[in-house]
Amino acid sequence: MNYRFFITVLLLLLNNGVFAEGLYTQQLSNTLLTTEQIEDSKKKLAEHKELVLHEELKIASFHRRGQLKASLEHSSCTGCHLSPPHTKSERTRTFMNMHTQFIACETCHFRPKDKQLSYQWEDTRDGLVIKGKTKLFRQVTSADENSKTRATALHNFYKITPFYQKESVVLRKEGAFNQETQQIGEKGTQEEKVHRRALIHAPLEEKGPECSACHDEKNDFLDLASLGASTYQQDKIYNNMIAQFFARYKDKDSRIRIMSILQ
Amino acid sequence: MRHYFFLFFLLVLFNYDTNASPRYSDPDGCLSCHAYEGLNFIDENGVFRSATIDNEHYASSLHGSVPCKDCHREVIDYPHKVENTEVDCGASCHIEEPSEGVKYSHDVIHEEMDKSVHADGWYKGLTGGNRLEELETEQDPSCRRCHSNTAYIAETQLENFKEAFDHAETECGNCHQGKAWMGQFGGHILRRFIGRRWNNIENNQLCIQCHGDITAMREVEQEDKETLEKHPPSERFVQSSASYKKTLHGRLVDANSNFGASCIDCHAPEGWKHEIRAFSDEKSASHPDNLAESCGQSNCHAYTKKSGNQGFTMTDMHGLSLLGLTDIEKPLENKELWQSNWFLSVWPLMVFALVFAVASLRWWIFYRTDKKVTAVFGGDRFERIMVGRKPKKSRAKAKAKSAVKKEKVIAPVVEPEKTGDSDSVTPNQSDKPET
Repeated sequence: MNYRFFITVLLLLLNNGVFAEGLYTQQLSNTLLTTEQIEDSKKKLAEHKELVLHEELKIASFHRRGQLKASLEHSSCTGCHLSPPHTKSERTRTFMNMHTQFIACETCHFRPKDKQLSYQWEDTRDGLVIKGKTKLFRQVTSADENSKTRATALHNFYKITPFYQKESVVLRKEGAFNQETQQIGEKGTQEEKVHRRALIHAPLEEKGPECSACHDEKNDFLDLASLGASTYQQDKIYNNMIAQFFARYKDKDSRIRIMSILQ
Repeated sequence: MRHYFFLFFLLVLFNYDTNASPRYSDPDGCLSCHAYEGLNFIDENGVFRSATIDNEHYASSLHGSVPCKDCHREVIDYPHKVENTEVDCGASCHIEEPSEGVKYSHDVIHEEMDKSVHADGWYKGLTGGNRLEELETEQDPSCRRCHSNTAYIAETQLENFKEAFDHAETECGNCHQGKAWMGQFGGHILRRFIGRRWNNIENNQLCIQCHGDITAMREVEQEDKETLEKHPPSERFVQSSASYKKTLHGRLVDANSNFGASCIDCHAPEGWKHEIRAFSDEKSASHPDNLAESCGQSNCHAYTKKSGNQGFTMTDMHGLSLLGLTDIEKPLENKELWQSNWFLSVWPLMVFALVFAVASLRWWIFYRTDKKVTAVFGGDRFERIMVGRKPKKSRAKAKAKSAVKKEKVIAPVVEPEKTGDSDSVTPNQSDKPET
């Protein structure tokens, strides 16, 4: 019995060692919130409406959908945010949510201007770095390959994640900060909640990068080659028809004729 | 010359295949986006939605030949306006009905539905986003409540298909896309060849998914045809699914027997199987005046069509008394069984069982080595009806009778010689046949 207890303690210690403090956590410790940030947080919490999620409807979808794999169960963000998280923008929400299958939240929303981040594949279950491989991409490797079979075989817990000085940036779900946040969410006062919300979001960008950040060869937000994409895959990602389609939007309310997608 | 002919033949074939359009064409490019895995979102009502279409499944589905815009007609821009995506199941599409070449439409089914108790169900204005609204506001089922875009060869029939055609694939279009015949008639013939898409269990499941929900059924509002007044449903209606399950019809269907009658078999046996009317409606298959015809269909209970046999049709298939019947797994531990009429009715049978047991015991003790058949009672009748011969006594009588007959036939009438000798005998006296 003592032997088992010893091993458990050892594993816990080791676990803490593996999840060393990342840049996001460091920034949270050093952040001094402004009045503006606090007020904004107060407003957003007041406007927030709790959404009651429905169970699967008794009227099923007429068409068979794809596999509905859980995608963000290892992310600390889904402690408060829905999974899938993007709900507001009618235009982009489905595509943004599709990207959450293989891109960590912090990749798009944690982009400090004064730090140079690198990006690697990470197993979000245990935080281990995965060496870049062709097969980690949803993009097919040749015209003959079946894209559905490829997507079905992939696991959603491998995600492109930001790193700083070889350390993963993400805020760990099982980390002390997140545990504390959960407690505030459940038992904290409104003031504590406002403060914690402002603190978590202080280092983050509300909007992610434009599609062209990754889907245009001229931009170098992600180094697809070092992430393991083959030349064929890179070409397809850079010349993605839908990203080009989105680039034609002039303003957020505009609608584009679908025929133009084929142009 | 033969070589040229062969070359020409090959060229014709090649040309034919390249020019024919594939079964699952996507002329509007919808699948350029919708085929992506994981196009999910949670809408403003908290419903998990998905814009992904499983393109491989779509290709093998009943609508695999139908371009998206045949149903979602008004979609022209992105983001799609919800009203532009609405589907009208009664509209005709660009697919032609194979035998007559007319534009295909489900309108004939809608016409039937319109006469049924489910007439108010939605058949148009259907979108992925208004399923919750339908659930919350409508009591009659829409088309999609019972039907989805299932695979052309139903999963339950897949093994039959593979065996019959020695095929492993289910996507006809993968191999047959270049053959117009396949596109036009292939699916139709396949379905007829493989047989009914649905078995009775699946058929019933469509009805039970709503009628089996007792809470939902209690909330149904029914309308009096004459006064148009709304009233709550009867308990008989609420429990209709549960009571049916207790009948022989339901039990046979549950046991996957072909002799079981499904809901549709009785309530909408004709046409497109959608004209389910209230039993009080004179045109209803379940109206008392029509039961002889309905029960006698397909020789299920053909004798009900003969006069005098109609009383059989009055057997209540949804009687509340059926609900008392329990599914008996451990009958001796079931107290309800001991008190039930079924159990009490067994007692008279026990008397017969006792007689049988005593007679069997008697036979086993006294006569089991005896080759003679010994009947306690009813032996004669058993021999006559079951064995098909006359009983022993009758056989003996018949034998004696025939002997007497023979005697009469064989013995000639001889006049005795008038010799005056008193010892003289008739010539045949010593040759008299033995009996």
